[in-house]
Amino acid sequence: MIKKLFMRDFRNFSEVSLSFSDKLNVLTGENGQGKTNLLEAIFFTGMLRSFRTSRVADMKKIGSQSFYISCEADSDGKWTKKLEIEYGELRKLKIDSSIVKKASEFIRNLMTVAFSPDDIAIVNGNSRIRRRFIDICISMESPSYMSALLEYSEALLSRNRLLRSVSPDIKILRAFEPVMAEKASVISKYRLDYSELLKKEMQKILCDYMRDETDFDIRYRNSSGTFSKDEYMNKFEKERNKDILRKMTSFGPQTDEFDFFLNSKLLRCFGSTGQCRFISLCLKMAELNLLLKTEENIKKAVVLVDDVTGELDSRARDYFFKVINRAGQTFFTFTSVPTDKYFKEASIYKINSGRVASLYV
Amino acid sequence: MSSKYPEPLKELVDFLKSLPGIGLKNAERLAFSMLKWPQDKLEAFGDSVKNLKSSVTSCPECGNLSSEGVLCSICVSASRDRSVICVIEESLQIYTIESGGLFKGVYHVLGGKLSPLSGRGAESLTTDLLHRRVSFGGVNEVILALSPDVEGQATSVYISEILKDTNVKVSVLARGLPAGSDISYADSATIAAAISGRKSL
Repeated sequence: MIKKLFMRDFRNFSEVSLSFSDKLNVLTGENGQGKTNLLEAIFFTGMLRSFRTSRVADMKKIGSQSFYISCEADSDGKWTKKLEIEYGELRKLKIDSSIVKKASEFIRNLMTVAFSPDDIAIVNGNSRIRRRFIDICISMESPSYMSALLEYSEALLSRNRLLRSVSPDIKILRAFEPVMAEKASVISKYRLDYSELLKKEMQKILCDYMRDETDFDIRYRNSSGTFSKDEYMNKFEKERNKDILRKMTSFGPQTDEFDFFLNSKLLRCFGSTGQCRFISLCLKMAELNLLLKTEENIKKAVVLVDDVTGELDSRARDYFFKVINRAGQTFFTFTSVPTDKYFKEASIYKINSGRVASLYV
Repeated sequence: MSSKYPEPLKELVDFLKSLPGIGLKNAERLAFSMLKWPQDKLEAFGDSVKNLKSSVTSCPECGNLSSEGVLCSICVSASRDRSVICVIEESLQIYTIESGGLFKGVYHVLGGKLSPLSGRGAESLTTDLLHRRVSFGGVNEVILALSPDVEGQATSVYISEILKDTNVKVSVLARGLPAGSDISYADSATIAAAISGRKSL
């Protein structure tokens, strides 16, 4: 859990230093004051990416060269670690003042799950958003998945660059394919396993919550149609000439799709906005449940809830809080101080144009 | 701040500062210490800098550093095994491998890796020369000692493809735990590589 947080030049915060309750924290303030920015800083410390944007440069305060976040976190209950991130031209990561080179060694110190109104796009947005959701879920548990993903995308960029050149050298194209085939095989196996786990967890949640049979299904559509390295290699052999004409790699993990079905209807095409929103919330709850399988993860888990609970009816609210409650520490955002019984013990913070005050009510 | 030194001294500091690992403070220290050198030492130093490019050449056989266009010390040595060629990216890495003391074969400097993303293709590598060396005969094995990143792996595949018609044995270096280290401090990717590359006792 996070004990203290310091930020410099992050979004609309020039300099803020805060300490948090180890259980429930509520950030209140008018719209546009920086509540979500604060959640984003916490999420970034955990995952080294944002839940809102893929452009790190957007997170620097306008007009500044770099941002800095330092966070005192108690990740395994033994001692407090100091996590530091400086993002300027280059990224610098430190744990307890010693430099960490690999992101994969940094990100498992805090496990952040963010609930945000944008989550609906996981269900009704484009396939990139679904892949990103699944990728983040798997990466949190499996460093080897994350490194396979990174190496695959580097090789993919290289191959695509070659395909766009005037007359691609077949020998060089072929040189990048074994790495891609190996990593793609790893990635697709992980994706298949995780989509099965997620499906079971979703069915459990829907059964608990709806108290009747809801038919929910996730189908992982592997665009290459194979999980074996050798068959990926054959596929490259077969598609290479067409890829040269298309000037891009036409199959592989970057074109995979995850289809969500509710009562046999494909949600992204036939789901109502209400259904999509509900299923996206359930997907995030399922992600959290799967993450909280181990005692260690429960201690490391930090749940961020941005403006989600407002539109839930009371039964959905109770269920949601029951799921959330299992995580070590939670952060909520609200426009005004919530009066709900659930927040009686919470530490309340008031955010006003990039300044934060702690309120004791 | 830049105007505090006389112009020639500032120029020297700027040159030194452009070297890797040298910051402003270090560059100043070096420059001030050179000011105290006797004139003949400075001239000898200047000559050695001036002739650096013309006197240090690459070995026509393997691409390693040598002088005055002759074969490098490894290619000229009678005690090296010419049937094994170790391929590396830069000549600097020869000294790393040599310090291990185990390798008794000869080298081939590739001049980099295939890197489509930075616009470096096959023409920037000395693969033709390597092919010629191998086809000339007497080579039993080519060891590819390239970095185990994506581009290094792709370059290894590319070279093994190019050498296919020579029927030479091509091998790559093992990946895994560094020698003499404690397994508890190894990162996850290294452990994974070590487990998949394990061998039976």
